[in-house]
Order: sequence, then C-alpha cells, then structure tokens
Amino acid sequence: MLFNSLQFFIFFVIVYSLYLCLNHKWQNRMLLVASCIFYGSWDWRFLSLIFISTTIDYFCGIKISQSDAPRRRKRFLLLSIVSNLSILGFFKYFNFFVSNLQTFLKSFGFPINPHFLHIILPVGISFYTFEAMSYTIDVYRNKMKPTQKFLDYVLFVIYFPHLVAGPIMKAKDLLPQVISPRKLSLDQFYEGCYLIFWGIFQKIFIADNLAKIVDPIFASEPPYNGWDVLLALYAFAFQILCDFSGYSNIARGLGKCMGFDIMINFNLPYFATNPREFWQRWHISLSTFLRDYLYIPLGGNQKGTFNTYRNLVITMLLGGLWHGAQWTFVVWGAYQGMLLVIQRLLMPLWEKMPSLQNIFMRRIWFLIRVIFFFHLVCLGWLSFRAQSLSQVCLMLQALLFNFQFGPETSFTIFQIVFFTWILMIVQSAQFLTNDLMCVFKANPVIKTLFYVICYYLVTIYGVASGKEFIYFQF
Amino acid sequence: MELPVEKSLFIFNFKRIPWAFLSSVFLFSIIQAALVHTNTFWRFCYFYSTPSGCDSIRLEAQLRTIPPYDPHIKIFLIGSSQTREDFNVEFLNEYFKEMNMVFYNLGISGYGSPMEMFALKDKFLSKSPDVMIYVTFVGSFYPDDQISLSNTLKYYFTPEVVPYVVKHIGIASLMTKDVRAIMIDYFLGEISVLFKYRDQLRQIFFTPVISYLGTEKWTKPMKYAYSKNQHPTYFAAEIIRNKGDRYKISPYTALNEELFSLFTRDVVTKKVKLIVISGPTHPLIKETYKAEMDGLFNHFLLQQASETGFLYLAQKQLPSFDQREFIDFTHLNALGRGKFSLFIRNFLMYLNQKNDIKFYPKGN
Repeated sequence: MLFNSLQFFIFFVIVYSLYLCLNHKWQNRMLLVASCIFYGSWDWRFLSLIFISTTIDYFCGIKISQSDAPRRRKRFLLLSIVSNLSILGFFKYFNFFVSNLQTFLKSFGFPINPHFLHIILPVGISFYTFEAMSYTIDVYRNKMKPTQKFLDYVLFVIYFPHLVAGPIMKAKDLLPQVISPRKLSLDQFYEGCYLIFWGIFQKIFIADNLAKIVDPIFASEPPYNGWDVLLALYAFAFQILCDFSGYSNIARGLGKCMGFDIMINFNLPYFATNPREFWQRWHISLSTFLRDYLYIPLGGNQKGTFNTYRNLVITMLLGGLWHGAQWTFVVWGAYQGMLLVIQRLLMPLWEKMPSLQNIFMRRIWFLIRVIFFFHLVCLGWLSFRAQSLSQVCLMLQALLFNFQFGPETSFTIFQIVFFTWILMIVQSAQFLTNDLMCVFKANPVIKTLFYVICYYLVTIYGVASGKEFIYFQF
Repeated sequence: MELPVEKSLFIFNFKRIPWAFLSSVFLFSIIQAALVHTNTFWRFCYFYSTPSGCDSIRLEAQLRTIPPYDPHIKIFLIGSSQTREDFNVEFLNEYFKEMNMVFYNLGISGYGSPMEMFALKDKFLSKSPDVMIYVTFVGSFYPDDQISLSNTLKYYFTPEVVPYVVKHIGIASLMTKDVRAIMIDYFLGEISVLFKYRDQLRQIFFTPVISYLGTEKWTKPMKYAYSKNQHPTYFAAEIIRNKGDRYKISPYTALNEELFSLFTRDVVTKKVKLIVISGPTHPLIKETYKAEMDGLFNHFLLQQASETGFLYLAQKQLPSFDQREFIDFTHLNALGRGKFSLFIRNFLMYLNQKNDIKFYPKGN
C-alpha cells in the first residue's frame, strides 16, 4: 500500500475518521491495528519479524531499567542489539556475505558451493530495526525510561507513517508522543495536509518523471555517452531527493494530522557547501542515528586525528552498507567518508583564507561552492545508482572521455529543467527565508498560484501508476 | 470514576476557511473549463498529436471543433485504425467541396468494435452527422486472444456498457485491476478533461519542444500512423503464429452483436444515414482464420441491415485489392487508400443519384 495510491487514500480516510472519534487509549489501539494492516498489505508473514524484534526489545528495556548491575544491563543491551542485527543481517546481508566469501575463497583456489537464501527483503527492515535498537540503547544510557505498556512500544515501532521508509525516529522522541494524549489543532491539520500535498507532488511529478530519464540510461549497455551519464546523474540527484523527501514529507504530514511530530528528514541538502553540512541536511534521521549510536561510541573526534578519520570512514562505510547489500553502496559510503576526511584535512587551510567583504561577491562565492559541492554529491550518486562497480567505471570513463551532444541531449536537458523548476523555486524560497514551510505561510495569492500550477502539473504529468519509493528497498 | 471521553472532532469545527486551497481549486476549474471550451486548444491538440498514440484526443479534438450549427453535410468516417488509414479525407473533401460536404475521419486505434462505437455513439450523434460510414471487419466481432475490456475501453469507457458486459462477459471481468483503473479514470476524467487525456497531452505539449530543439523531425499535422509496408516475411510469420485460428467466436461476439444492434438502431432512429462497410483486408488474412467466420460475419450484418435499415457493403462489393496495396493485414497504404477513396466517392455519387443522400446545403 503506497502513499501515492488510491488504496492508501481510502485506508487513511477510514483510519483518520476513526481516529478523530476515539479517545487516546483507543486511538493507539486502532493505530496499531491499522499499522499492521498497512504493513501486512506487503506481506503478512513479515509482521512476525517485527513482533519478535519488539518483544525482545521491550523485554530487554525493562530488564535493563530494573537492574543496577552494569554487566547485567550490558548483557540485555547486547541481547537486544545482537537479535536486531541478526534479523537484519540474515534477511539483508546473508546472501551478500556468502557470495563474497565464495568469490574470496575461489580466488585462493578453494571453490565452495554455498547455499543462498531465496527470500525477499522485508520492507522497511533497516528502518524499524534501527528504531527498535534506539530504544534499548537509550534506556541503557538512562536517556529514557522504558515503557511499561507493550502495545505502546509496538506502536512506536510499527506506526505506519514512518514504518517502511523512516524518518528513523528515536524512541525518546516518538515514544512519549505515543504514551501521552496528543493534541490536535486546525493549524496542525492544515500544515499536515500541505506536507502531504507537497510530498505527493514531489513523488509523482518530479521523482517519477525523472525516473523515466534515469532508468533507461542505467539500464542501457555500454559504451555510454558522457552527456547521457551527466544528465542521468543530475536527474537522479533530484529524483532521489524528491522520492525520499517526498516520502518523509507525507509521513510528517500524516503524523501532523494525527497530532504526532515526526522529525524533519531533509533540510535543503543541495544547498550544502561541504560534506559535513550535507549530512546535517540529508537524511537527517539516519545521520543523527549513525552519529549518536556509532560515530560517538567509536570515539568520535575525541581520540586523536587519525582515529577521528577512521571513525568517520567506518561510520560512512556502514552507512553505505545500511542502504543495501551491494559493493556499490559500500563504495558510495567510502566516498562520503573520504569527503568528510578531506574536509577535515582542508579545514585549517580554509580557515586561513580571507573572507570576502563585498556582499555580492560573497553570494557568488557561495553559489560557486554550492554548485561545486552539488557535483561532488552527483559523483557519489553514480555509485549509489549504478547496478555494478563495472558500470561505475565505464560511466566514469564516459564522463571523462566521451562527450557527444546527441539529438536527444537537448530534450533531456529540457525535461530535467521542466520537472525540477518548481522544486528549485520552492527550495530557493525555503533557503532564503530559512523556513521550510514558507510556501504554506506565503501570501494567499502566491499560495493560490502555487497550488494551481501544481494541480495542472500533477493532472497532466503526474505518474499515476504508483511507482514504489526508492528507499523501500533499503 | 472515569472521566468522560474527550473527542477530537473539534477539528471539523472550521473556524478558518482554507481560502488559498479553495480559490486554487476554483481557479483551476475555471482555467480548465476555459481551455477546453477554446477551439484553439483542441486545434493545437490535433495539430501536435500523432495518429495511433493520440487517437482518443484526436477524436475529441475533431468533434469539439465541429461547429454546433454547421451548414455542411457532415460525413463521419468511424471505426478502427482501418478507418483512419484507409480514407484519403483531403481527396474526398476536395471532390465534394462544391456539394457542401465535409468528411471527418474519426477512426481510432483498437478493434473498432461495436462496443467502442456504442460507447462513442452519443458523442457522434451530438454533432448531428448526416452520414456515418462505419468500416468494420471480421476481427471486430470475432476478436483474437488479445481482446480484453481494458484494451478495448481504455479511453472510451462509459457506464452504459456495464450491464451488457455483465450480461455477456460476467461481472468478474469488471473487477480486474486494469478495468477498475479504467472506471476510476473515467470518473476522474468526467471531472477533468486534462486528466482524461493526460497521457496524450504529455506527448502533445512536448512535441513542439522536440520539434523546436530538432530532436525529431515533425511533419504536421500527421494523418496516418503507418507508412512502411510490412516485409513479406511478416505475413508468413503471422500465418504460422495464428494457426488458422486468429478470429473466433468468444463471449465478446455476443456482446458486440448486441451492442452493434443497439448502436445501429439508435443511429438510424436519429435519421442519420448509416453505411457499414466490411473493409478491405489483405488477401493473406484469410489464412489466419477459418473461412466460416466470414460467412457468419456477413450473415449477421446482412440480417441487421435488413432489420435496422442501414446500408451494408460486403467485401465482395468493393473493388479487389492486391497485396501491394496493403501496409499489413488490415491497413491500406497510399496506393490502396487512393483506390478505396475513389470507390467511396463513386459510391456516394451513386447514392446521390438514387437520392439516398442529398448533396446540397441543409435548409435548401
């Protein structure tokens, strides 16, 4: 059941109507059932995985809080982490590790014939396992008290707006909203509706139309044309942004309508001028999770320069692997880690540079940095989107040595501009006003015009076939 | 004691009206209504549309640009892509210009089945045609295995066909995912014409850009979808593939027969001169299905013609066409089109002599 489908619309209308009629206790119970139906619409069998994971975590959370003995607390924390990572590892990485082991041993003259699992990846497994783990870790760190109500805990994990593709909400942020009665207001409702509208627009007008440019190029056979690759990367940069931030916006909007405050996951990432800033703006829920539960426990930047670089690379490598069991994601993670390290290396030089006095020149310089860093990000997307590392190499080769302006090129450029111009205007306004809700708060005339343009674009160009969100595969 | 349950229904107590949202919906509706009532918009659509890919909007565009009180004698050429490809409308219009007749080629891709014609009947009749020439062929009544409700009614669905579909094909056929999507599209399309023709409009709006950027050469406006004759091996391969069983009796046959009767009855009742033609087909097509199908097809149409009162021209009454005059099994090329159009011209002249069609302006 996709957010951009009629089934979901009907589902949400029913759920929301019931939600408005119930008190807090029954709202939670109804949301639990609705979330099970929502997740079960993909595959009922995988609901059992969520229940196994949540039962273990709930039990561990209580045991940790009941004990003062550090070893006992640690044991239950380990039980929770190991069980969560085992489920994730088994379903997501088993075949990847086995096939790599096979290749490795074969290269040393030990051919093996391992057994591969023929199973599909449970939707959203990477998201809900991280959320579940955040609970026991925060209880262990005494950052929160465990909940005594199992159903509340299950609802925190399974709450349908953020279940399958995030944002990855930490237990200490979302669980209190489950436990306490929520307040609804008309402003929140309108804000939620706007976020849902803009999220759907991002998905069905921008992302799904750009996919039509990107997919054929990445599915084609080499040799590649540098122009095609470059334009596919530009298109993919906006496709993945709109696909994922569209989903996050819809999730936030649905949450707002129900009185939940789901965190902002994307904050104008392509306005970043350096890798660090990029990760403060892109997939914020994942980057903060990795920072709080991986980078800092590894030592963060407190254990010397070399260890800081090592921690950055390890964090980003694992962040890459989190996206999928493929070397392309590992390379992407390594590339992002490398960018962060290079930034740290260059920081002393950067700080010595004299700052520009002229405002105009400062803006131009800012724009140059934004564009430059956007291209570095696009280069990273090559590995993220490519089907194999050999494709990455061949496309890189085309980007460097094979630029041919074909008859289709100008039309592809036109299409990219056509499908992204409204995003660029909205994001520029959001950046200049420093307010992600600036359109919602805009003058009614501007708002009306914005809606009319969006209706027109969605009516004619909206992809109604209900294409899946990219991050569902993670 | 438990406190009374606090309801959240206050959210419906709208104290602030979302004016921007409401005015945008209103403005969108107004702009859309203005657009679809403008002939320029429909001319633009027709101009930049391609036959085959955009047939449904081409049909709409043609019908919408016909003036409501047209003094000309209007001749609608209806049916499938066979109709679209087989007539040289410029030639016919030029010839009959002095006689105040205007031809409209309203052929649409698909089976040209009576189900489609029945669905489009009211649209045709609303433009008060004087003559309707319906080109059909054996496949329209005895469809091949590719037939389904979704590919027949994708752009032409109307709730009026539902009882007949239920009667002959069964209610389950309406419950498939594709047909459900078609029905939802139909209802949304009734609200927004832009939504209804969105697939074609996407192409139509991009075509001038493609043409301007030089990505593709554009011959405007396009009249025919096909220009290159199929290679002889195509015919041989198709004969082998179909194993002499391409067109056969199916539940769609009874459905089409009933809808054909209703369609013809309504058209004739409206005093429109209806001519049904068994269109020219490639001589080798006979090898793809059993000969008895032709017999059944002709028998049904002859019977209907005598019962309902329309003219029926069987294939044997047409000039003979040889293989060189066809693109494929069912579509004529320029050579064949010329021959067939000449025949139609002569046939209409013959009808005029018989006083079956009056070749002078209405009101005279």
